[in-house]
Formats: sequence, C-alpha cells, structure tokens
Amino acid sequence: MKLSVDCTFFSTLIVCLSFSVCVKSNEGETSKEWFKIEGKVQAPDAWAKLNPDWKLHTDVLIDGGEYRAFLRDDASFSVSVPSGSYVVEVFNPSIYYEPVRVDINSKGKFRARRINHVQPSAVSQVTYPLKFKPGMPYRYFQQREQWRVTDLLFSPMVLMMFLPLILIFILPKMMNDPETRKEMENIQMPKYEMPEMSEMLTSLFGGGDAAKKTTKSSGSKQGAVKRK
Amino acid sequence: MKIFSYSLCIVFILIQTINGLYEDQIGKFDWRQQYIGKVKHAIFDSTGKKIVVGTEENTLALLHAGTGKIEWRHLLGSNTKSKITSLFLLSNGKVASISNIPTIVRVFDVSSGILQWEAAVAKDIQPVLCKWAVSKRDIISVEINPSRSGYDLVLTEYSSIGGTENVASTTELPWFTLGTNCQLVFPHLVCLHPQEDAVNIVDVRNSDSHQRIELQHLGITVGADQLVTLGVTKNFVSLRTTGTFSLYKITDEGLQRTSAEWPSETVLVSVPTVKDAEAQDQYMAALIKREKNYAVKIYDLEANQVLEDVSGDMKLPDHAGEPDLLSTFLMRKPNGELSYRYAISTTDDSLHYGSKKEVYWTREEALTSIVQVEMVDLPVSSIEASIEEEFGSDQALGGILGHTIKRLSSQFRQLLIVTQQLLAGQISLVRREAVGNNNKALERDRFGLHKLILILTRPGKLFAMDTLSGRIVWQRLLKNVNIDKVRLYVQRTSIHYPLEPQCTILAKSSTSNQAVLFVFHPITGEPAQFGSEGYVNLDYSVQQALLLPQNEETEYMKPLLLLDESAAPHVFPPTESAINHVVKMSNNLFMFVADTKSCVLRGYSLAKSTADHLASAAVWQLQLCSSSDSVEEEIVSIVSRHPEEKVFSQGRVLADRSVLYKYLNPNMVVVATAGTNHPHHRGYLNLYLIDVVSGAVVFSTSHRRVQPPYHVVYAENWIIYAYYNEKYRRTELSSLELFEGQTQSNSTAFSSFSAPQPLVDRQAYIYPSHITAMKDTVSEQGMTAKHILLGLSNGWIQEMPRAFLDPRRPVVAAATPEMREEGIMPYLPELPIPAEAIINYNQTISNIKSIYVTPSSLESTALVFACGLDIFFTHVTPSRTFDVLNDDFEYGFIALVLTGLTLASFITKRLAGKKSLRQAWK
Repeated sequence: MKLSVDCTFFSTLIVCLSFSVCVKSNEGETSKEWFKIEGKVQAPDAWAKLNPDWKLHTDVLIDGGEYRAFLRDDASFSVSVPSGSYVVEVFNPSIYYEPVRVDINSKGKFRARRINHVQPSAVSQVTYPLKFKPGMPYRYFQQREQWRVTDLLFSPMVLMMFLPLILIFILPKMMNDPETRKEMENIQMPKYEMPEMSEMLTSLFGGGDAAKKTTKSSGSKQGAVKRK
Repeated sequence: MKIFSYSLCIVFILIQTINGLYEDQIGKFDWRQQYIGKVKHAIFDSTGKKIVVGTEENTLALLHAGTGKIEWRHLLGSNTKSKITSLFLLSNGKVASISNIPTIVRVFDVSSGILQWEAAVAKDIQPVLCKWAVSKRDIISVEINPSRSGYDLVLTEYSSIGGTENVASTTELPWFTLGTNCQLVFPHLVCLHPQEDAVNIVDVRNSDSHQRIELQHLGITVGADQLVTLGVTKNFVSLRTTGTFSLYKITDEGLQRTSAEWPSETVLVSVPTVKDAEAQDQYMAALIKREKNYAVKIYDLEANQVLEDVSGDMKLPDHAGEPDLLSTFLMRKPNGELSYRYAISTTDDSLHYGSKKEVYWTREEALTSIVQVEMVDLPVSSIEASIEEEFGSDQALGGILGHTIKRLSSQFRQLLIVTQQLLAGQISLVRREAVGNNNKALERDRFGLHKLILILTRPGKLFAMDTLSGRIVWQRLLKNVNIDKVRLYVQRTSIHYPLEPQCTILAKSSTSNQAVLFVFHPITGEPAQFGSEGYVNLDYSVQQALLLPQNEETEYMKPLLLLDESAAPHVFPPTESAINHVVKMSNNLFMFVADTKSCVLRGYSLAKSTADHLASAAVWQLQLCSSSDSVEEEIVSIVSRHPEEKVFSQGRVLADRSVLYKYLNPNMVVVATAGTNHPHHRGYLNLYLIDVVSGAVVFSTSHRRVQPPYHVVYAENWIIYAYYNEKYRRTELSSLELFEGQTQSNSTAFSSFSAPQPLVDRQAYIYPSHITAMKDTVSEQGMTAKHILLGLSNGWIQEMPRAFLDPRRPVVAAATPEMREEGIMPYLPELPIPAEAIINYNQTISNIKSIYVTPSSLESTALVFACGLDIFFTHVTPSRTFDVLNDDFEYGFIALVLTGLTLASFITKRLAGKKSLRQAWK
C-alpha cells in the first residue's frame, strides 16, 4: 500500500516538474521566485452555446481574490504567484466548479489536491495542470408548487363545497336503487342526524321547546322516507 | 443507525431553515447597480462609440459611449495596493493594461473582453521609476533601477501579439536623481527634477543621446519658489508653472514648442482620437476654466489656430467637482464639420460624457467608495398628514362645532388628494404594482419598505437613493471638508410630523484641524437653518460623538454629544432644551474613546455636568495591546450592538422547562485587537468584551496563528467573529454566547456596577469560503430569528441562520434527546453554503466591502444594502413572511371559492324549500 502511494507521488512529481514554469528571476536576486499556475476550464457544450460570453463572466480567484486570472479564448488561464499554497477557485454564477489547492514549493514543484477543510493534511491528488470540470448548475431558487387539478380538488375549501353537494344530489338518487335503499335503511339514522347538528346545538343552548321540535321534525322525516 | 437518524434530522432542519427565493421574485424587491470606480484612464476607440477605461478600483472596463453602460468589466485584483498604472489601445483592436505590485501586463480584446495574453514581471525590488509606452509593434517598459554607480535604465519590449519578452538594453543614467519626474514619449524619456531648471531628454534606445535643455531655452522663466510640473499627453509634453502653460513636441533635436498660445487657465489637454489615421496628431483639445463653467477648445496644430466654430462651452452640474481627466474624440460630420465628444472625470469621482451641446450621461462612480449608509423613513403621505394635522395639532378650536368644521375640512382635503392621485395615476385600482416603479411619490408606505438610503462616499459626496428603484433622488458634494473621517447621524426621523427630519454630518475641516458639521434635511437634501448654508464650523476638534435619546422636550431631536480633544463635552444643537436634557441624564451618561494605534481605551462620566457647564471626568482607562517591541498590535474593530436592536426574549427555555437567562449588557462592546509576533511573523487576534461604563473586561479570548480579514458581529448576547486560520489555511467562524445562568440578577434594569459574571459558551466552525463582509439581520421587535449575512469573495451574499453558529451545538456523541427537543442541531465542523441561501442569486457583487441592514415596519422583513464595486439592495425575511400574505397567495381562487359557497348555499336553500313544499303536498 505504502509503495503504491510512493509511486503515485513520484509519477506526479515528474509531471509537475515538466509543467512547472519559472517566470523570471530578477537579475540573479532570487529571494522570491514566481511560478505560473496553469489550468483549463471546461464548460458543458450545450450551455456554452447558449452563453457565448461565459468566459467573460467566469472568474479565477486565487486565495479568494488575492490574485486573479482571466480565461483566454481557449478557456485556459495562468497566474503568477510566489511559492506557497493556494486555493484556486473557478467561479461562474451559473455552474459549480470544485476548488483545488495547489502547493508550490520553493523549488517550483507543483502539487494539486482536493480541498479538505476538516482534515487539511489529507492529500487527495488531482491532475496538474488543473482541469476544472463543470459540476452541477447552481439552483438559487426554490420551486414554486405547481398548480395541479388534484391540489384543487383536494383542497379543503373545494371539499367543503362539493361534499355537501354530493350528499344532497347523489345520495337521494342512490336511494332510488332498491338494494342500496335497503342498505341505507339500516344505516340511515346517523346520515339523517348530520344536517340536524345545528338544531341540536340550538336545542342545547335554546331550551326545551327546540328539543321537542327536533324530535318532531326527525320523526316526520323518517315518516317521509317510509312513505316514499 | 443513530448517525443516520441524526443526519436525517439535520437534513430536516436544513430544509426548514433555508428559505430561498422563488424564481418569479427576481427583481421584485431587489436591484443591483454596477459600477467601475473613479476613472483614471479613458481612451476612445477609433470609432468613438466605445470608451476603454481603467479605474482606481483596479477595474478595466469598456463603456458604450452612447449610453454609458458597461459592455464588459474586469476586476484586475482585489489587492488594494495594486493599481492600473497605464492603459494603451493597440492598433490591432486590443487594449493593454499595466498593473503594478505585482507588475502585470495584460492584453485584452476590446470588443469581446477576452484576455489575449499576460506577462507577469516578478520583481523583488520595485524600480525607482517605471514607465510604459507602446510603439507600432511592441509594448515598451522603461525602468530606472538603482545600481552600483548610480541609476540604470532598463528597456524591455513585449511583442503586442504574443507577449514575448525581450530585454533590449541597459543604459546608465548619471544625471538621474531621486525625486525626478519622468515621462516616456517613446522613444524619448523626458525628465524634470522639481528643483532644477533644466529638462533632461534621453533616447531610451541610445544611451549617448542625452540632452539637457535649460528651461529658459524653452521660453519659461521660473521665479523663486515656483514649481514647474511636467505632464504628458500622447506625443506631447506639457510644462506648467503657476501662470503659464506650454506644450512641446519631442523631436530628436529636443523639445519643439507648439506655437499655439495656451491660456494659463488651461486645466487639462488631450490629444483627441480622430477617425482618420492621418489627422491623428493634428488636433489638440484643451479644457479651459472660466468663471462659472469650462470651455473646450479645439486647436489645429498644423494651422496653429483655435477652431472657434468647433469649440464650445461645457457646464457641469454643481455637485460635480473639478475636472481631473479629459479624453476627447473628434469626428467629421457628413457635412464636413468637425465635432467633438468628451469624457471628463471629476474630483467627485463622476464621469461625464457629452458634446458641444450638452452632457449626455454621467456615471456616479463615488458609489464604489461608500463610507456610511443610513436608511431613513420617508415622510407620511399627504392623506395621513392631513389626519395628523386634524388630531395632532394643539390649536384650541374647541366645541362640537369647531371639531365638526375641522373634520369636514380635513375630509374634503383628503378627497381632493385622492382625486388628484387618481388623475395622476399614482393609485392603481387593479393591483399592487410591482416594485421598481419609478414615478412613485416619496412617501411612506404601509409596511415601511419604502425608505430613502443616505449614502456618504469617500470623495465627500452625499447621495439619497430610493429603495424601490435605486434612483438617485438628490446628491450633494460637501465643500471644504476633509473626507478622511466623516460620520453621518440621523438626529430626527420623519416620523415626528410636522417637525422636519434632520441629519448631520460630522467631519474635519479641510483648512484646519477643527470639526465641521453639515446639517441637512434628509428627504430634500436642502441645508438646514444652521450656520452658513447648513455648515457649522466648530472651534474645537472632535474625538468622539454620541447620539443621545430624544424626548418631547428636545422636540424629538436626538442631541449629538461631542467630546473635544480636551474631553470637554458639547451638545449639538446647542439649544437650552437639549442641554437640559443632557444635564438631566448626565448621572447615567458615559462615553468612551479608543485610540486604535496605541490601543488605549478611556471612559468618561458626565456626572459632574451642570446646566451652565457641561463637564466630563475620566473614570477608567484600559491599555489593551502588548507593549513589547517584538509585536505590532492595534485595534482592528470595535463593535457595539445595533442601537435600534430590541431583544424579545430574555432567555432560552431548556428542555427541562427551566430558563437559561441571556446576559444582556447594553454597555458592552467587543474590541478586537490584532498583531504580528515579529520573530516568527505569526499573526494573533485578541477579543475583549468590555463594559464601557465600568471599564471592566467581561471576557477575553485569544487566537494564535491567524490572519486578517477579521470580521465581528455582535447582537443580543452573542458574538460571531471570523478570521483566517493560518495553520489549517481555512476561514473559521467563532461563536460566543453569554448567559447569566438559571436566575436573573436584576430583571428590571441592568447595572454595569453590579453586573453578574456571565457564563460563556463558545465554539468554532469552518467556513469553506472567504468572507469579505459580515452583518446580522435586525427586525423591529427582535421576534424574528437572527440570520448572519456573509459577503463572500466571489460576490455572493449568504444568509446563514444563527442556529448554525449556535455555540451550544453538541458533538454527535454528546447530543441528548433534550437538545433535540430544544431544536439544537448536532455539531458539524464545516458550515454549508447552499445556493438557495444566496440572497443575491446570480447577481454577484464584486468586491463586497460592507453590508447594511435596517428593520422595516414589518416584523418579518429587514432591508439589506450591500456595497462594493456594485451596489445591491434586497429584503430578507429570516423567519419567512409570517405577517403578510405570500406574494403567491391566490386572491382569485379564494374569491371564487367564497362566491361558489355563497351561491351553493342559496341554491340548496331554494332546492330544500322546493322539496319540503313538494313533500308537504304529498
């Protein structure tokens, strides 16, 4: 296991060496050399066609804007920095790009790795020169609930409106069917109690007279049904 | 399993707490305006339809000359030291910009704004002088570096197509001395030392070509103490003394004076861009100061005359400053006449574009350097004003009859106003109109969402902006004011009708060290009846100012208490009632002064004041920074609670139904000091919570190996601060929360002299981005949840619920069901940045510097104003809009259902009646 890790490190080392470009050292006074971080940004083809000026609106921020780079026509970028460790971030307001940490040592060796804020020492290498692959598009907005017929039908207000109608219009028709009528006769009591809830209440708060009426009316209704 | 359930719980909370925008809300209550900064370089392109500009905010942009709109814009660096030093338009339709520190040459395509190439010139030593020029094929840099024998000139050429670098030659400059001003007119370098009376010219390609020309030979006589300044415009060099102005063309033989006579009032000259290439250097434009306005004169250098019929006058508005940059374009109309266009940058940071006839457009670039923002209430509408007049006035027109007459007259007036508004179309009967309507009257709306944003900017310009549209209502340039330290105070808001609102700006005088106040009416921008045109010159300098509470005696004017350099207090306005008001509360009046450099805090008491003489006495002093030589430390921020903040709940109810009382010390401020330890160059941050009445340090904490930027937010009983952790190379947010404990020491009033020692909870979180600004949301009654607004380096503003930064979030293992019942999430080290929490969605704000929050009259809603290179305004509703109907509320549907129900009840009544009738007949 350890061997394989070493091997990958060695191979990336070679790659890094071949790509590291020393910019310029000023007439021998090399207290701080500058190195060029290079990379390329990819964009989804269909989206790039719709947004031909995406390169203009894509920023490359190094350490949160300490240094800035701009995309060229071929969507590549380069930025000169002194040796150190940098977070390279590609920001486009529409598409997410994963930021990368680039370490440059004083000899100009490059290493690019994933950012892990919780374990900063963990190394998970990525290729250098950097390649930024488009991630998910940003979803800044919440979805409005779509208007659906079922929403309307099952909304309490509609239920309130239509259920009584059903009770009033459809139930009497069902009564005409002899079989259901028979069935209904067995369970009609609670059904017919329902509309009289209000009267029950008035009787409760009203007094004896109302109570008598209730019994009367219910009796008459029962009679009416029977006569039918 | 347990972890799974926890993560589910977190996801649930996340879903609950993040309230994003809906897509149809874009632009409904938010707006963004994009700016570029004060223009330092402006070049017309060869067609005159585009202007390439480079600004002090380190921005390169292309402006459309017809409209002034930004075609494209690049922020070249957020580093404040980095500046665009030169800007050139290359012949192949490219623009070259040169920035310093670090020196970078970048070449962009003018029409598309895409980078063509860049070359970084890494330098260890900054050259004494660095000048740039362009030739036909190359971009040329000339540097003067110190060498062993004196100074060396290094010439470097970059090919303008690919940027290949070619160090051409190094030449010795034996005559060069420090302080010499040099201008490069390729291939000549023209140098003038302010104390010398001769001009040195050298051909940078040929070291033997040095010439020294006495100023006398150039026709300039220099008296004693007179300075000659050297300027450059394209291929011409100008020499200016106090009374003269002359222009020279540079040839191999030396300087050749142009024979046109330049008046000494010439402010600026510019070589106009001309459409046809042959006439390129034939003309010269000059801006000449007149008594009240300016004249633009066009000179024909070949014919040596002023083209009077082309030249014209220019009138800048009063609130524009002095011009300091001129760029011109000359074109030939179809009828053969010449006509010019100009772009002028003025000292108030605005850019004006116009022609002989008029100024076509103006860009207010001062809005990129905002110092302070206050959002003020608008006056009541005329209807409400008439009601106020009816009931608010004390005029004794007693009796039933009097009141009836008053009522009738006021109602008649209201009717008149309504008809007027109907006629003017200000009231729409159909539906509430979308926000952003420009012609709305400047009056208060029902929810206090319509306000006026007062903006104080670095060049001393004051703006008032409408929150609905972002339109500038009025603007004013402060005169004779030193703009380094300015503060704006709202002394009286427009709530107290019919008393007029009043605002005051406290600044230093530009001529002396003493303070100046500028008093004005915030709604109209008119100076108030104080001093001369609103300017009140004080005969002392002010080291601290404090707005005091108002009351009826002071006519609801908040007196401004000023502490002068000898710590003697003064009151503004110096009326008797205000002074009496101060004396009455002087026993409880304390002030503190902090010196950020020496880290000394001093507290003063005003208890000894009498009505005749206001006096202060020093009561405490604190030295915060280390006095050791190996460290450099200073105060980086002092934060107190938002003055309008109200705390709704005195404590937090725990799961066992006991209350954990908040430590709500109104006198506490947070002082952050930061420094570097010299031997190791390691930064550290100290945070002190100081009671500024007693001078007691309530709590202090320290972080080692941290770096700026530091941001502190302090509200209620908690503090959140951000810093960059150097060791782990990440931004961290620390959270402190202070509690009194299970009992409250004094439930009626807080006394700093018998304050309990608070219990402090703290925790740190990792923030996976770079923070450039931080602010908490404020609501009117403090009932609404608090959110933190974080301005990020990529231009986003994230709205983060405070619950995420709760220091009581327990680690997963220690989390108890009680904690969950309280609604505390388990601790996760890294904070999320979900895109739905970005309040400015894809409207990024470059280089966010600060965020301002003001409560509206709606408890749920706060107004947010963010500024940087752009300005952005929006509403935030941390606990959602619980007090107003959502904007997707379906009025039509509820109306339909209601009418349906009524109809149904009528029909069924009818049907039931019929049925009972039928049954009765059976």
